[in-house]
Amino acid sequence: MSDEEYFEQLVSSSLDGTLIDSEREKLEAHLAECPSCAALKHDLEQMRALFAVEAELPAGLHDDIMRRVGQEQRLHVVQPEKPVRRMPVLTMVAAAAVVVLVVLGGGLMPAFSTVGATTTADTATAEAGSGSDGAGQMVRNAAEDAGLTGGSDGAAATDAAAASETEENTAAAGGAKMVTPPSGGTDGQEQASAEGAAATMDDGDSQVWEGLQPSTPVQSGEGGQQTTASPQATLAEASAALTLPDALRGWHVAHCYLATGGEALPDVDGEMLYTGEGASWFSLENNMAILQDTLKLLEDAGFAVSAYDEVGLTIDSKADAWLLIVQTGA
Amino acid sequence: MDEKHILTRARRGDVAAFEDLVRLYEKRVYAVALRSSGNPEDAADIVQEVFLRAWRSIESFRGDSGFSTWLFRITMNLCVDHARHRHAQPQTQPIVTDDETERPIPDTTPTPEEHLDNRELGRELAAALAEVSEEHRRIVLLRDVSGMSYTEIAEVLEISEGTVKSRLSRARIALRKVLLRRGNLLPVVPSNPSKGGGDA
Repeated sequence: MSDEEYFEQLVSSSLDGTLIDSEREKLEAHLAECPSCAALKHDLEQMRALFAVEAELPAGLHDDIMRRVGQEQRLHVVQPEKPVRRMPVLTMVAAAAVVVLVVLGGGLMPAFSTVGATTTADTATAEAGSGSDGAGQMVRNAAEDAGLTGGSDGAAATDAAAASETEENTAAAGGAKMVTPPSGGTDGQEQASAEGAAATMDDGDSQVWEGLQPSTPVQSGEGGQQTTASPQATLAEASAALTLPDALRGWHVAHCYLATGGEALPDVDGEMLYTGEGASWFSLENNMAILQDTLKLLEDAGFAVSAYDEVGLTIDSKADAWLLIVQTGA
Repeated sequence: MDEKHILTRARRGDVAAFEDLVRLYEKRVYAVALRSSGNPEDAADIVQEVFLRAWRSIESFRGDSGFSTWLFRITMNLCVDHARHRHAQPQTQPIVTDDETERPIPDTTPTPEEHLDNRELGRELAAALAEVSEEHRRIVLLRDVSGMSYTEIAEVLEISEGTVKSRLSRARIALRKVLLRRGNLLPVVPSNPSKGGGDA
């Protein structure tokens, strides 16, 4: 550090009252003979006065904060299954599925083709098996947790237990069959493993739908009967008729709100993505004012609005848009 | 009740306890957001988002660092995000309110104290902050706006206290340069040569 930098730092620290005696004496002596540092001290003191303004909190801001928190509180109520999302079981099942993919799909994936097929197959089978067992246990734990955190909501535990079956089936099926994620590609598979995506199995055609996002996917609605992992039940519980439109898969949204109970669709300030089966899906700009105005608009129009974060999409508060689902009338 | 107990209750989902935490910190968070964004509306949005995020993840807050450290990390990230977002958007003309219509920028700058309630000053300071590096902006906001100690800043930014000291010095000097260029600082009045003839 040069002398100049040293004294500049002393000037800066003097503002904060952190100089020791010897430093203070040194600085005072230096300031008496260095107009440049004296000017610096003068300016920094002005700056501090400018920035350290005691700002009054705007009227109503505290209430606005707490109103938003209250809306989130509702989200906790409607989502007793939330802890399931954090369960490592999802990661493990996805990881097991990926291992199987690596082995059985090796010929299709050059990135992994250097791995010795025979050796890896043995390992993968072992891992898939242990993944399955581990997954079962984890989901049973999840069921207990969900029961605990869900308070009186025993259904949550049941759902989680049901998910246990599903996840075990998934892992087991993964060990026996060729698995095809919809988007394919090595990157996607690695991401699935890294982000703890859930894999769900469609009993109809034995395909595993690999969600590549931290949230669990909502079923595609293509087949008739489908097996659904527990977190998917969240939105489905609120409205069994809701099915995530295919076009929305893989989206990142800042929030997801479901508005129900109103008669007529209000004039929503966003892009309508899809409408059908009594529900309209909108993408709206991720902007606090738009969010607040829209929620108010909906509530004024007689809708009950709730937030969801388990909708098969990645909830990312930095996303450009948020998703609104409006169910009207019948 | 001390903050630790309030925090424990808030982590269990007690909204009333969380509201106590909001009361404890909202003003400081708002001050930082106001200086960073330059206008009360954006600052209010940032503050709401800060507490909303804190509420969403308070369950997972493990208390390895203090609550304020954690909260100000969220605040800093949102302020920086907001600044980036604003920077990426086309600049709009500042709104001219009734009481400042058509007023040319005066050559003789009022004292900093006279400036304090001036909305224009807020915009000026935010604009000046936007001209320094993100690293410098963060540390100035934490020290000169939020009033955090070196130790607290070191925790928020995950750097050593020695680095806080040197970085803060460099940040202030960089910001001073911008403010001088923008004409926001009063020049040093020479004190030795008698100014204006003294008593005469």
